[in-house]
Amino acid sequence: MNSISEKISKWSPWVALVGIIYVLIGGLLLPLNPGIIGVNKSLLFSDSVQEITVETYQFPKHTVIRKVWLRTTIPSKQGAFSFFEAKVIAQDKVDVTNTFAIQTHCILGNSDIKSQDLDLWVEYNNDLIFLPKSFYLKKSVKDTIQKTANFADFDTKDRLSNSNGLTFPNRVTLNESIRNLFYHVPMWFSMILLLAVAAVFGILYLTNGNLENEYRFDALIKVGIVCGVLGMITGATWARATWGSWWPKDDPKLNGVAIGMLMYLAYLVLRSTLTDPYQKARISAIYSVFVFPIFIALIAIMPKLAENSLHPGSGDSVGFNQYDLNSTLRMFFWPAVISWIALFWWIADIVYRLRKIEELQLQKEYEENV
Amino acid sequence: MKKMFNTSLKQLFFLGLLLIPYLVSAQTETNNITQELDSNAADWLQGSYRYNTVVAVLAIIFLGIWFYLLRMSRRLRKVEEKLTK
Repeated sequence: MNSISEKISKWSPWVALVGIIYVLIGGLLLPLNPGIIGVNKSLLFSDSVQEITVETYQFPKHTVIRKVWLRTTIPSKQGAFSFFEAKVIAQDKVDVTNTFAIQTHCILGNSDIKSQDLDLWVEYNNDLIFLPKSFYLKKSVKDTIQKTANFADFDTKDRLSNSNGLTFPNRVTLNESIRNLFYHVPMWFSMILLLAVAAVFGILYLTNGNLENEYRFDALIKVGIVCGVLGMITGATWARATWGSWWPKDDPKLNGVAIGMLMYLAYLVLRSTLTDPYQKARISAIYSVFVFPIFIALIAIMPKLAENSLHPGSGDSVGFNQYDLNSTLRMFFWPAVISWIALFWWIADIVYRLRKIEELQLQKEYEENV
Repeated sequence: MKKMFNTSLKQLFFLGLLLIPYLVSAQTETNNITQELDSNAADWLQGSYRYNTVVAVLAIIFLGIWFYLLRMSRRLRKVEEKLTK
């Protein structure tokens, strides 16, 4: 196991160098796909003329707007209202004017439902972008006319613009912060890997009593904690940008991580209270072996079993792989994971070697004195 | 040697500087209707040359940390060789 670790440590600096420079430059400089940021009003009344300004993002110059659609969110009604008079009035600004009123009966029929959420879809050049639940359509009292002229079938399947060359997907809410995927997720991957390997070295120490294994798992846990802290900082920043809060209280994954990190901080406290090196090594090894599965249960299994969660892949949220990731994002995500792991592995190796040298020096001094 | 160890932890802290891109490009308070750009840092970075400069500075900081770690690793190897003789 130690020889494998040494081999990995030999390559890890170079993997980290090439990978992180690639991710830093490419991941931060490649543009996002065009998308819709917002609209100037959210409430629409039926049977009245609509004038809407749509704010777009990274819209190509000299764009021709083909059509703008307001699509019902009722699954059984696949149709949508079309707006024909739409034009780009400035960079990333589109004006949409409807000369006819929206009739709610088209989507609501004669039911008692008096309001409906509508998605906004913009067809430009040969592409299609959308903003879900952009409008809240309310039925007005005078809405009785049975017109269907501007209501048509609108099938969006396989038509959503996802990639224009080397660009990152422009997901609603995530927007530019999608680049955090190259930093936040690899921090947790690195931490889980380092802590898992630390548990293996803990088992090795308990079976053969070799103190070098103790130096290894101690270094791996310390660097793993640093990865966890960096993961929390990047996560909190991302949460603020997308969910509006640094630490949403009801997210099971966040609470699990908080408890898990406290458990690993307790490891440091536990070690500092023990003075006998062999007792310290034995108790730390047992702790590192037992705490790891509990930590995994807290950050991965429990959030999956929870009813609600904001994190992708936990509770009722879909996994990140369902977020329409294009191949460009993957081209940077996996190198980011490998290179961050390589960097932290290398740092853990340096911490291990420092400890080993300290112990060797102490041993040498002791032998000289004796 | 202890001093060297403490310095490496300080350098780990500076790795945190690599996180600046999210702080500066983050957007605040989003909902289904509107998204507002963060008023301060993100607006300041709107000009592409400023953004490119920040990316270049981050890359240089990373390279600095990397070379520091590499130098430390080489020094450690020398000490290890000395001790094992």
